Amino acid sequence: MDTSEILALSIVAVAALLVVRYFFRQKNGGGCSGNCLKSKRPSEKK
Amino acid sequence: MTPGGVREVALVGNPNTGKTTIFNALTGLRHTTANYPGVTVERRAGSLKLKNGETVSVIDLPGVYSLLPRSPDEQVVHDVLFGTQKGTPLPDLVVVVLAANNLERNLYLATQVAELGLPAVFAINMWDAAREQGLEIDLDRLQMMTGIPCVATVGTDKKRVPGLLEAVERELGRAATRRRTFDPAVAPEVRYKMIENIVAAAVRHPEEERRTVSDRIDRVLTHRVWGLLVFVGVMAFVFQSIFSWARIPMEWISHGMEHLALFARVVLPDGALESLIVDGVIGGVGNVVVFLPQIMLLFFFISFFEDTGYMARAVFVLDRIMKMVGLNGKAFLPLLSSFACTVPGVLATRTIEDRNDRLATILVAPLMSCSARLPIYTLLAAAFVPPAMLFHVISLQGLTLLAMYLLSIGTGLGVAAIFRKTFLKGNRMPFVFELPPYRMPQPKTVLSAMWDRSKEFIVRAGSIIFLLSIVLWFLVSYPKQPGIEARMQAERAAVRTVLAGGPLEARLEEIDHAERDAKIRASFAGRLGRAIEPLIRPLGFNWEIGIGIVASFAARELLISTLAIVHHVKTEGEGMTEGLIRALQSARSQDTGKPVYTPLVAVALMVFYVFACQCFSTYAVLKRETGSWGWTFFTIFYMTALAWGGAFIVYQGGRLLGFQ
Repeated sequence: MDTSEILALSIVAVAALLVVRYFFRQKNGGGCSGNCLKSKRPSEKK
Repeated sequence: MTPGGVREVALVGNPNTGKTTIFNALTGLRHTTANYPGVTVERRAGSLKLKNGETVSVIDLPGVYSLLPRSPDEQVVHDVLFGTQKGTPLPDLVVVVLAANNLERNLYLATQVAELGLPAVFAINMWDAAREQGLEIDLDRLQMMTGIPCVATVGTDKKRVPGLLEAVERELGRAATRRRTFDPAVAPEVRYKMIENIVAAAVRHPEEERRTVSDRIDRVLTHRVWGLLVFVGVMAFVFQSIFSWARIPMEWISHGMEHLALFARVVLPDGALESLIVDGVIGGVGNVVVFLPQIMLLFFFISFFEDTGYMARAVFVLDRIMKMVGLNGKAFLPLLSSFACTVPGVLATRTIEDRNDRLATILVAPLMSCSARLPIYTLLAAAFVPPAMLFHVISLQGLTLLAMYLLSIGTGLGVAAIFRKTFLKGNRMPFVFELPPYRMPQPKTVLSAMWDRSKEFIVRAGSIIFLLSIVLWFLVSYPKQPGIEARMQAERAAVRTVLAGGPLEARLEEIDHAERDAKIRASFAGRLGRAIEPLIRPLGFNWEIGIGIVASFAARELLISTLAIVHHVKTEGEGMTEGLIRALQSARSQDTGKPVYTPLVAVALMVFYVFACQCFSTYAVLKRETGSWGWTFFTIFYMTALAWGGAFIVYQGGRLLGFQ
């Protein structure tokens, strides 16, 4: 493996980590803020 | 007052009163856009320098009809004016923008604000439109009866705003003397009775209702049949323009990217890093960025039609169809937003109160053709649809684009009708909205709205598309195939012993091509593409397209990045996009030797992308807004099934009809 390939694969590794981070943040970001679709029938509390 | 000691002026008013135009006139382009904490309601804030040198902050609140909140945007207005909105101080002055030609309805909110006891000014806007209708408004009497200073304004005319500036400065200088008398329990009838008295005293209507220019235009544009035809005609014009007007700036970017790739090839030594930068990054991102002018043009037209008042007529015309399929009229704006991006479109459904109405809108919003699909349509149309003009009006390419958008709208409405008639039954909530008078569009407003919407595309290209292009390059380039390399080297050596000159060059190029194809075929991405090939073969797609389809599940634009990387586009001075188009037109299957892409395959692929739900951000927003993985997976499943079915019908049906 030459220097060029090591550099390229390092960039790929960083990009892959950032992609995972991006998707993870998408998944958890924001939250419902109380504006989620309300359930059709509110659950009854005893 | 803000924590920094800057006084705050809030602009409130009904929708379509020209509030944003007044905001722009007061603040110029010195404004920032963000969301209120916790909700996706846009917060626009700017600064205004008064004559006395003081700089005040101006916030443009969402357009609402009342201070009694039912939706998130109404809640924000309520909270700001009651001083309970996190991060926004109680305003030092409220400017209520009222449409002069519809004071009755506008005074409902205005009188509520007046009763809050905050210093306030009424900007009686669209003064010119009211005069054109023959309305005479006695500002002094209006001021006397409401207790609030009233100023006539024409937001679109800078010369007609200084009166408001003076009133703002004057009222800010006064101490708050009025007390809060607002009572949310006051019945609407009581308030309307009071408003009736105010209007009777302050407004003189013409003896004969004048038919304004707006009225005359509306007779056509809101007509049941003509209105719809004009709407389709306007869309056809937009898509034809996207094809023809964006061509030159696209060529500039395309050549720019090509030069960048050539430069990178010169400065970087041969090897993996050069391939990553040139084929992965510049090829992957560059081929997507090239489409920016088309995206900007699309948003320019949307902003232009919003600003002229035509978009409200389109809502009116389409509301009849939405009514037929059982969708709430309020669904129009979320669906329109979805043409830019599904995420804000789905978030905009928060204004729909009824659960089933809202859910039906959320489930069909991803069917609207978002801006990420536009590059796919235009690339395939440019490569495989002849540019011939039809009736000297619209090119076949523009018509193809129009057809894809109409297919997306038609299917979205059809699917909504099925949902509303089956598992999302319910009554359609009444929808009230006003048709604003036609206005001369303000370049500043149109360009600013166009930029705000286009920015998202650039951000995506510079972030997730950039990162995924790098990952994609790896998946297409690895694992290394020393066996293939050795075999091809042996073949090259053998060829060199028997050929020379031109024939040798040609044969060596063929070997290069075969080596690259064999390597991609054996790569991680190639294996994935071949694994799904049996599923997509009936649609006319081979494994190379399969790689693009799999990659597109992260973001649709990646189809283009994938095609650019897989086909290893080498440009010859014609520009990056043109190079990709040439590569697609000449691509041949390694198995059969037949062209990979034909016009029929291209149309089937476009139809696949009209329907397929491929965007990670969309999955996230669906989960967030429905609060359920069930609805999210349902949407992905039904849209993928539609995509497969649609492409199957186009490809197999086309073959039966003799198309290729």
